[in-house]
Amino acid sequence: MLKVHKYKDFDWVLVAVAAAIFIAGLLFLFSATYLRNIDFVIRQVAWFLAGSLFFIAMININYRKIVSLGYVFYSLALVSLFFVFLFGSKRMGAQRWLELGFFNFQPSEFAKLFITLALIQYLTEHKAEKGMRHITAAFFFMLAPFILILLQPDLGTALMLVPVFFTLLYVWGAKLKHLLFIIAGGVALSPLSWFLLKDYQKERLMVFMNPNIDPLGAGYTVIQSRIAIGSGGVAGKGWLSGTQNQLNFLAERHTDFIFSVAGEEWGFAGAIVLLALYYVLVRRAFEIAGKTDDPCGVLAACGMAVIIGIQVLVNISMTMGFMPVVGLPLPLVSYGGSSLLVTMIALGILESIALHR
Amino acid sequence: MRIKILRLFFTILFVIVGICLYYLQIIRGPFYDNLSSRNSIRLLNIAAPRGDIYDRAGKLIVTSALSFGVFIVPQEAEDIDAEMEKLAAILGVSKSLLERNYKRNRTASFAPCELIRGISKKAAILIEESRFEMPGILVKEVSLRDYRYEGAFSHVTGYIGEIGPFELELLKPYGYSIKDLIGKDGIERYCDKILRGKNGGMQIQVDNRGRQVKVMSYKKPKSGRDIYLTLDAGLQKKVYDLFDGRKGAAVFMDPGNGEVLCLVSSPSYDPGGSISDAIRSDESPLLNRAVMGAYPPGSVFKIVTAMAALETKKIRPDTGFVCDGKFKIGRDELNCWNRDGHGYVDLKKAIAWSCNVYFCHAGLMAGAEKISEYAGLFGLGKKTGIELFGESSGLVPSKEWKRIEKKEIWYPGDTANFSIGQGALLTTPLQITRMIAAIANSGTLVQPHILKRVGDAETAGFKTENTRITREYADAVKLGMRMVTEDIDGTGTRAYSEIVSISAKTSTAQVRHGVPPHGWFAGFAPSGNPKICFVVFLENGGSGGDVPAEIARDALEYWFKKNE
Repeated sequence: MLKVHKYKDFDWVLVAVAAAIFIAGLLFLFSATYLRNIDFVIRQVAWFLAGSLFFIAMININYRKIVSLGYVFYSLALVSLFFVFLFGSKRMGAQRWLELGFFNFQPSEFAKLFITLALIQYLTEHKAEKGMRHITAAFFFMLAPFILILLQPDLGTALMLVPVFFTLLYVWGAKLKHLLFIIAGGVALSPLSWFLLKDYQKERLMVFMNPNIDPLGAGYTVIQSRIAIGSGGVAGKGWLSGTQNQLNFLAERHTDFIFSVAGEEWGFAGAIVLLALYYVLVRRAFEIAGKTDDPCGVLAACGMAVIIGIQVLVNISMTMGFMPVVGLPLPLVSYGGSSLLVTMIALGILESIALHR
Repeated sequence: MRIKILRLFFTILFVIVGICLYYLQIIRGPFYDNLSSRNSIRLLNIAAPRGDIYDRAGKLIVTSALSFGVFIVPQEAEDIDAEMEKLAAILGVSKSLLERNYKRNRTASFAPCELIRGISKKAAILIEESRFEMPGILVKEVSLRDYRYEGAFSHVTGYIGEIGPFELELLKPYGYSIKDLIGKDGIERYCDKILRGKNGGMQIQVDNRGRQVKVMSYKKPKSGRDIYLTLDAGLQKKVYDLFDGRKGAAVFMDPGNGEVLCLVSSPSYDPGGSISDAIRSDESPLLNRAVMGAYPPGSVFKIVTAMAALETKKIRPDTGFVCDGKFKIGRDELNCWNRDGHGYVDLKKAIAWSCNVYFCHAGLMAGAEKISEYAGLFGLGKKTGIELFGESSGLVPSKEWKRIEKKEIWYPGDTANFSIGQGALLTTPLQITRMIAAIANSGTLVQPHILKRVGDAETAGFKTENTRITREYADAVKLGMRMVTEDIDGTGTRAYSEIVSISAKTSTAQVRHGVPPHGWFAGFAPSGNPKICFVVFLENGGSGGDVPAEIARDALEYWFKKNE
């Protein structure tokens, strides 16, 4: 009885929706890779099982304990990012991976979560005084990992930190004029960032403005992805029957561009359902935040909602060609252990908040 | 409160992304669907075998022979450069030739691209044996147009070549496409749509590197239909050989129905060989002198003058004139070719001896208008409508013509010149053949044609016209024509034959000073019951009674011996 009571606030909808998304994702991943190598699907399932252990661990740990370890995670993130900077292996022009024998670990994926947790811890500890002092401190707190990630370069993850920062400060209760002040400062400094961007990132931004600048180079991925999604039409070309997908016109279609496989083969009908599932997921996260009285729980729930929601929105927009290609995965669907693990931990934290309110 | 605002903010973002999705997939869906098809679907043309051309008896004249061509499939080749080098070494051709053809013919990575064609079987086997060294190289049987008689039929059959930009523009609605081979002249061109059949094709799905993934659909090519000509291959070859490269033309035709049995223009060219060489030649071998060339007919035309004078009752067959070697018109004088004069001549002698003085009298009596009218009645001055390109209509002068075109008055001297086939008058050898046929069959102007059968269907619908000439007068002219070869003093005695009685008219048409005259020999045989009419014409070939008469006799003897 006690056990039942303990889990009575468990959010089954959240888990069911996440499972549905993951299963659909496995189908997309299969379609995108089975002609080359079936290992991708097997490894993704293995990561899912590993992720489930983390998920179960999370729901059984009080989220406050996790948040209180925020600075530890933050340090871990900084160290691993620094390691990447020194020893990381290069793939596709970016230095993002640490080779750890049996798997290639992508610290910047974890950094999204860890830095968010650290920020939550900082804001929870200073919930009494919401002045400019702590806002400025939080800003510099975020700046160090932001620059390290940007240098990898991983524009997507770095930019992820921006909405996380503002959302958490907003939920925390920062005055709007303070937030606007920070935004104004950021906008004023943004031209400087052009010099921080690598050439390929500048190119990607240029290509986003006009993909036809370089239809066979940097623009190719976006153009072909756009064609794939557009040609899906209402009902799609059918699972395993997308010509853009199966005939190799799509690049990176098992990772960041997997949504183009979904759009092409399942059409608008499938894609809009997938989008709706993500919306339900994000909405449930905000509802968990709404039902919680603990300011730490509110911050944590909103943080997880933003991490998941922003990745979904940015990823889908970029595969459709409505946003620059920044290299963010589609949570639960894109192939990749680090991303899947982080998303499942985030879901576990959400359930923990629901259970330990 | 702030959470609710945040939630609303995210809701709006999701709705915006949903709208983008709707825009991309539903509104722009058809556009992107088209782009995606273009990405992955390619069309590959499969040429239909071209129809054959046969003579009237079913003897093969033109066919599509199989030959070997060497192709390269770019996607199969490991090293295109190295493979072409090996191939060049085996074939003993320069590598740059292969490279040039590769550049010109390459379409897609999956499509075999022709490097060279017409290689020997031995070379084909050699290449096949070393295929493992050249995985991209492919030997395929290709269809080559085979003209069995080389030059003999060129002006009838024409030749084929790659479609030109102008033709493509014109023929695109009829399913012609770039790089198609089409008939460029003669029957190859006239009957191109029948001969070529319908090309088939394959829809091929390719991947992002243009490699063939699978065949999506296949349309079998439909072979072209065969054409049967009215020509007799034996006679054609015989006459062509008799010309022996001399400049000129010959037409042999059935006077009963207009079926052309032989149509030779010389010099000729090999339609399977280099056409550009033929174009550059000074001899203008591409010119079909039998239908494109218009020449002064000279004395052959006296037949028309005679018919005009007879039909208008100005003379009768037994009307006589005295020829003293010259004919005076005003202050001008026109000589008979026999300066001593022919003495008293009637119609048949005038024809047999080709007396100019007689026909000047007859012509002036009939008048220029009547001669023009009868020339027209016999089909002169207009195209015969034969199935060949570039036919000339020739020129029949008249008083109006001279006033309008030359801005000069028509003098009686013009009538005299006109009467003996000189002056502005121009005719094609085919027109003269048709005119002779109308005399031979006593009044029917037939439609000369060279198409006998298309596949299994006989051609039909050839118009004939009744000239309404009087049989008695035609017989009188025929009698004179018979004497041309059979009278001891006839102008065409060289054409006298023991095998068949030949009726004819010689002609030695003056061109201009210092240039040999055109020689004509036109007639029919056998004299009593004409089965074949003919014209042998030699451009600047001298007297019609000499070489042309001999060519005609040899050809007719061949023909009648063969059809005994």
